[in-house]
Amino acid sequence: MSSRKSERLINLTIALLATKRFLTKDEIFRTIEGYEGNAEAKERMFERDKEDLRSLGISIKVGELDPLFNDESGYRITPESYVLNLGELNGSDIALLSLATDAWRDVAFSEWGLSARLKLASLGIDSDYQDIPAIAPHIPINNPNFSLLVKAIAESREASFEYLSLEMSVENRKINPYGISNRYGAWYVVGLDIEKNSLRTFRLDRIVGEARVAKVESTYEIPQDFNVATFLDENLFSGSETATLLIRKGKGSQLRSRSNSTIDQGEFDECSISFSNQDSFADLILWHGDDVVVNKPLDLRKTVISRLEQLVASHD
Amino acid sequence: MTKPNAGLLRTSRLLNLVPYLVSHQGIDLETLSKRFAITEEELLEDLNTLWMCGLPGYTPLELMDLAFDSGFVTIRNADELQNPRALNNEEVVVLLMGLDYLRGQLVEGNSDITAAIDELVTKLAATLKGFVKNNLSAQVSVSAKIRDTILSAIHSQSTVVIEYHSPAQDEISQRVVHPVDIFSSDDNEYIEAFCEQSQDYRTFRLDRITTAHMSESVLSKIAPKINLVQEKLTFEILLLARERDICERLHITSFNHDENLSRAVMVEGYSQNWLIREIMSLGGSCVLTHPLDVRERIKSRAENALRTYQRP
Repeated sequence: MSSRKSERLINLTIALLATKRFLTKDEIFRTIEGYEGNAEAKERMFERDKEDLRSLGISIKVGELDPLFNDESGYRITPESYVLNLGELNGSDIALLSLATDAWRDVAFSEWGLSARLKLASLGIDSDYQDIPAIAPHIPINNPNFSLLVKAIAESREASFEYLSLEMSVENRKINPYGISNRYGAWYVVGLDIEKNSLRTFRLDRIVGEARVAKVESTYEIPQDFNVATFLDENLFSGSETATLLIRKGKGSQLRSRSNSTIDQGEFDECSISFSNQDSFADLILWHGDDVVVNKPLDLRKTVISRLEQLVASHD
Repeated sequence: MTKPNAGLLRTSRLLNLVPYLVSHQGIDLETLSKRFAITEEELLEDLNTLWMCGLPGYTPLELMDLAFDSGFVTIRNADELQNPRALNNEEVVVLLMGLDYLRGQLVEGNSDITAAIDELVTKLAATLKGFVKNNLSAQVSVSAKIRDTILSAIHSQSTVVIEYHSPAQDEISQRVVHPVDIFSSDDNEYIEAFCEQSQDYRTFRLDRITTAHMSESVLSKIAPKINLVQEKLTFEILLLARERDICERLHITSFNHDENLSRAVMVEGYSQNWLIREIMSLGGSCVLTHPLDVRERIKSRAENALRTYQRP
């Protein structure tokens, strides 16, 4: 895009902000610098400019010029929609918001963090860090689909992507995305799987290639009581079932941190730990070799034993 | 939804530049270009473009009045654009997630700040269409205190005593380290540090450091950092099921599912212990075929574990 186009967009913004009434297309073409060519060319330019400004978050209001002759519409930008307004903000609010943008340095979204910071700094309120603890926030995320999915959530748009199944085959999934968050080093998006008509969780690094976000806004609504953090906690890790494990002293700190109770049993400690998925919990137990033994439930105990037997047989 | 092109991003920057100048009259070109993360040449180009903009009529009376010849920028006659623009969706999202993360880092006793954050979150969430406020969350997996301790040790070049959970050994060990760098990779954060115990540089995953304290002690000698290529070990694995899990855990990127000819893959790693634990954990879904001594170790580890189940 040329400097001339930037100039025209800025001049259009200024003129539409300055006017107290709606400007007609004709007035726009006559007075604003940069609209050239025949009527059709100007028309095309203007349509394109409106779309470009909208993509920058600037909304142009369309209104009828004269209630008696409603055949021609006019355009303006209301200062209320254009100007940053978060109500009353004090110095410590500004400091908190700036810190929030700091978390995104060097990662996806860093450009939006920067522009948000610059806008806030332009409010002319000095930041006040006095009561704010010295913390250096940092959100580590490098997945290219992150920003696409976040945008889809913010604008309620359907998203589709190819997802790696357990067997490494690629499946097409289409979701109404609800929320996004991270757990133990991985990022997850939660959404209503349209085909399966139920809430599903997807790990971002299992999405193959680039996710696609629908061009049109959907009509789906995210339930008011949906909370992505709670959902992930309930569905990914903790669960309704409880296991009793023997964990060797000085070992298994990962499991111990999830334990609800610990009883000293000499060489081992008896710990009770809740889990949701038996297979992945068995993985974790097997990872510890002979440092962790399953007592209960019997099902899990059998699974672990049979997988150990398989290991012995296949490595014989 | 495509990303705004470079030209549009520049237009957006120009619109942000005006209110910033209005509130920072007389700012020097160098500082200004740094704040906007652009070069001074780009900044001068921006200012020259803005200088041509104004109200219809476009005589000096209507144009913005920018002065920057002296190296310091002042702006007049920019009434329409003088206030900062409303935040767009992406900016709101960035702030919401950043605030959620900050909230998680606060220690107890900061209820005033927590309340201030909640109020800001409510205000910001209200500006997004069809959006409820608990959808975007960024959890803290690294304690803010530990991170701060490490960062200040890097800055002051001092020594830190850490407790570290080493997954390959499944042990928590105390180490005296001299951190030199903090970096992120694969969505996790790591520190690079000279470790007194091993007399060499080691990489530690930040969220596996359970405690960190500044230490008075000075390491007697810290070897200069040499980028020694650690020798990689190679293993051959036969995949039977659960290919996705295996590839993720063993960092296999070359596995081609359509290739039915051979389901054997080569895996590289630095730690035999780590690999043995992963194969055990995937128990039954894959078989380690080479080298034979490692295969033997897996078998005997599995036998040992089975024995614990045979006890009364």
